[in-house]
Amino acid sequence: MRRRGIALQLGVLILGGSAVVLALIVAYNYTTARRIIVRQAEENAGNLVANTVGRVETVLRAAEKVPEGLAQVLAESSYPEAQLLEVLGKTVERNREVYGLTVAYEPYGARADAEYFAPYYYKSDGKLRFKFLGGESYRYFFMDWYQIPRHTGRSIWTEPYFDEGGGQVVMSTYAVPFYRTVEGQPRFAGVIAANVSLDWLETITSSMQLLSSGYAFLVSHNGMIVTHPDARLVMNESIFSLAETRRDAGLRALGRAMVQGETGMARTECLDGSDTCWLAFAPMPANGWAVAAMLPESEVMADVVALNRTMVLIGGVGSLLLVLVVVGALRSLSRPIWALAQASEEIARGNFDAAVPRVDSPREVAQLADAFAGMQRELKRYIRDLEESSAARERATEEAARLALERQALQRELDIAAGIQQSILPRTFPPFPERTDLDVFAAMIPAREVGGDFYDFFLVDRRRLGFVVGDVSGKGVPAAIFMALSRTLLKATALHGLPPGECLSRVNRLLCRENGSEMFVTVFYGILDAENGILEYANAGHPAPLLLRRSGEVERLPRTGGIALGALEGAEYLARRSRVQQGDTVFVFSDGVTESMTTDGRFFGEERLESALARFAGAPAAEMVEGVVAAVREFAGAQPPHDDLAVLAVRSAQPRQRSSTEEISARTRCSSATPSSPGRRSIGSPM
Amino acid sequence: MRSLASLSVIAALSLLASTATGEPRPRRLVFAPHWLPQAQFAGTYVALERGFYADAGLEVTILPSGPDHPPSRLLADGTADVASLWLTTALQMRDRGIPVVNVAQLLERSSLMVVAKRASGIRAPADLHGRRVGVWDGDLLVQPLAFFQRYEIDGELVPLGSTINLFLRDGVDATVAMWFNEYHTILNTGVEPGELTAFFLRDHGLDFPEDGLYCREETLARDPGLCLDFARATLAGWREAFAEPDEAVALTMRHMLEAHLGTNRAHQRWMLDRMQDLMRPGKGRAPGELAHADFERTARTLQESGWISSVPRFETFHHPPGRAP
Repeated sequence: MRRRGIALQLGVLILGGSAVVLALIVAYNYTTARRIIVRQAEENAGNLVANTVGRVETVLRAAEKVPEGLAQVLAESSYPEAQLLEVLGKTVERNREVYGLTVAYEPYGARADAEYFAPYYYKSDGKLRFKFLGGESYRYFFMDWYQIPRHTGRSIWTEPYFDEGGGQVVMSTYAVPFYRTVEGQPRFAGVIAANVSLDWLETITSSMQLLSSGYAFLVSHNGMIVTHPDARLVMNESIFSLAETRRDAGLRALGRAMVQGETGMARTECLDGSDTCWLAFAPMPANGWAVAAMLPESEVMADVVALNRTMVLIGGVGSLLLVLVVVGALRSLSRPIWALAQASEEIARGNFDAAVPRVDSPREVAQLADAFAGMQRELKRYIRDLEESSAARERATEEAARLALERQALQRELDIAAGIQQSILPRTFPPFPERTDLDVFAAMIPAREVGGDFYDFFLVDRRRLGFVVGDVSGKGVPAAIFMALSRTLLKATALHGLPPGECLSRVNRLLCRENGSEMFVTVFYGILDAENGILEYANAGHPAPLLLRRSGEVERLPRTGGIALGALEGAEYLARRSRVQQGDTVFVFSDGVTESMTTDGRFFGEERLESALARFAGAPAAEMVEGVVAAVREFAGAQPPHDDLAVLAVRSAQPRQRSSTEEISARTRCSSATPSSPGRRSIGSPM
Repeated sequence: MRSLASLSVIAALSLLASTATGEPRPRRLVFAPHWLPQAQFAGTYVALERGFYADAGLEVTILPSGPDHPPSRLLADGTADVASLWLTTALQMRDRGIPVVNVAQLLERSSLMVVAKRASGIRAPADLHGRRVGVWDGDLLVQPLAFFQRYEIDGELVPLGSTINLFLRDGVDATVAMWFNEYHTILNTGVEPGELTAFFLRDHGLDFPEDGLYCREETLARDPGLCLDFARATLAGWREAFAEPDEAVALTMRHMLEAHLGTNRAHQRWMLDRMQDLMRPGKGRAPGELAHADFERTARTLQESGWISSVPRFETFHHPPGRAP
């Protein structure tokens, strides 16, 4: 299949376009130049015709004077015959224009015995000659030169005629009627006729040069052609007979305009029929003839045509050169494109190493080549990647299997960590079985495997029980580890017997110093003196614990106003005191309790907690903790806990023996290190 | 071409015949046409050119006729053996004691017309009353006078020369004209037909047959073949002229140029075409035959107008040429 190349297409377009532009220019040039030239030709022809008219008229008017003068003389007086002949002879001799002159009388007008009387002087062979006109063979009464003045009373120039004696000389007669006064009335007496040879007309008109083949010619009153370069037309054809032979109505109309004394200019067929001509004409007032000028259009337009021909030639050659240049340029432009096309075919066949042609210019094609080379590189890389990917997929499958195993291991480890975390919280209840005066129970339920909430309790000395509930910011393993750290630090510090505020201040300092993970922990730390019921406590940003009176009254422990541990280095924590009566319970909880949520977004809240708690007034701590936890669970329903939950209850009970306090203390320390059974959730036994 | 070929065969045959019969030399014949050379006589020129006369054993000389040499006079004084005359002319000659005989009637219809410029206000024959009307003198005056009589037109008759310029320059209000000649000449001075009022006299009861070939009775009696052979050859010439009009016109123009007459193709072609219109013979008549009715009408009109005293016998007056050999 052969498709036309861009070079050919553009070449054709440019050639076509420039041909159109060229045609427009040439057409415009032609019409404009033609207009100018036609105007000039009109002017020239008009001038020429007017000039000819002027020259001919001068001669005709001069010739007219002779018979007119004579007519005047004859009207006034009757000349004796001899004198008349003498005047006639001299007049003919003296007037160059006059070929012959006669005074033709009416029948028997001059001599009573002569029907014809017309003495005639004329020139022949350069000599003046004389004869009498008239007779059976020349009945001048019926001649135009006689009849027309006679019947019209006007002087006339006759239609041209060939002189019968004088060879092929075209003549016209100027004939003037003359009158004699008879009985007081002017009576027609005859005609004075001057024959004027018109050979000079031919000389004048032929001297009127119009370009090289233009010419002037004369047309008679009747449209007869009187002078013309083509002698065959002269005195044979009229403008109308030519029009009839050619069936040219336009020429006939022009002829009418000419014989009717109009001035004009028109385009018509040349009289010889060879070409189109410009015909200019003007009347000759003296004899009613017309002078016309014929200008062959081809000659008038010759310069324009030559100019146009040159323009077309230059334009044509220019267009051709332009096309050659463009085609050449496009060839060199399309060569690299063609090479690229071949390379792409090569690549399509699978040869990815096919050489891509190097292109430096033009920029667009160079960019195309670069892009093509880039594409080839990418293609190669893609193919290589594709080949490697199967191996990679295999490797990935292995990796996934490995990760699954790892995840299993991790889960296992998390489970263990959860167990450990639970195990570090004291889980043996009652913790101090020998101390009847202190009933302690606690529970911690992590939201995930490992939690950030914690509780702790320990005997600071024989009389006093220290107890802690904390809540580490965040959840999961980091929280668990931070919890373990905080709890350990707190317990270690508390066991020094420091009052709660000081203890928290110190732990805060330690935590801040060691805290690289920007974690903090809210802590409530209380010390209950079992003997006097004095509760000393400090709070580091933890929810205020509730005090459940034996009566069922629920009070909130007044706030101490400290911020969470680990948040601000150098923060100080105030301690407060409160008195706990026998049977009263201090209930400490993490925000996991109050902020426990239902599926529809309602919080458990402190009021619900207080009322839940109130029901357990006087009940053992374990019962109270489990009851509250159950209430929270019930409230949350299906909603999985979003936060860890820690609860601790300390009830002041009836003391039994004093000595048992020391034992409790010892056992408590031990118990905290005793691992309990691992489990995801852990609450104080007997669950 | 076929006619040319057959003509040459005829020519060859007749040459053989004349040799065989031993006829010593061709008979001389002088013909006087009606007027100056023009297509009105194209048939004669063609017959001469094609050798139709020679084939008939005739050696024909055509006289230069014209206004100064009327054919009637040439025929009467014996200068011409055959002349082209109008029927009216011939009847008048015969009435004056010059016994001429019609050997072929060429123009069956009248071509004479009266033409006026519409601008002069002339629309109908009656409008010619009191006007100056150009007429040709002599025997060409018969028809116009009959026309004026018919319409009781009392106008000034102005005898014309040989041109229509007096009419064109308004020296006369109307003029007689031949349809085949002057009428066309007027048109070809740039006058449109619509600018003219033209009456054909034939449309006014004056359809007189015009050109016919005549010889003297004595010539016919002495050598009947001479005039009739000429008439037949002339008719053959006309047939050929109408068949090849361009050649006939060219031939006519040659004759005109030889006579130093101005001429042009357009006018001669018009004339030839009109001759054909006028020459078309009526039903049941052979070319050259004069219709008895036309003869009677013309002669009676002349008699009634006082141009002739008696009407000759038709049979004596007309000797139809018969078919061309």
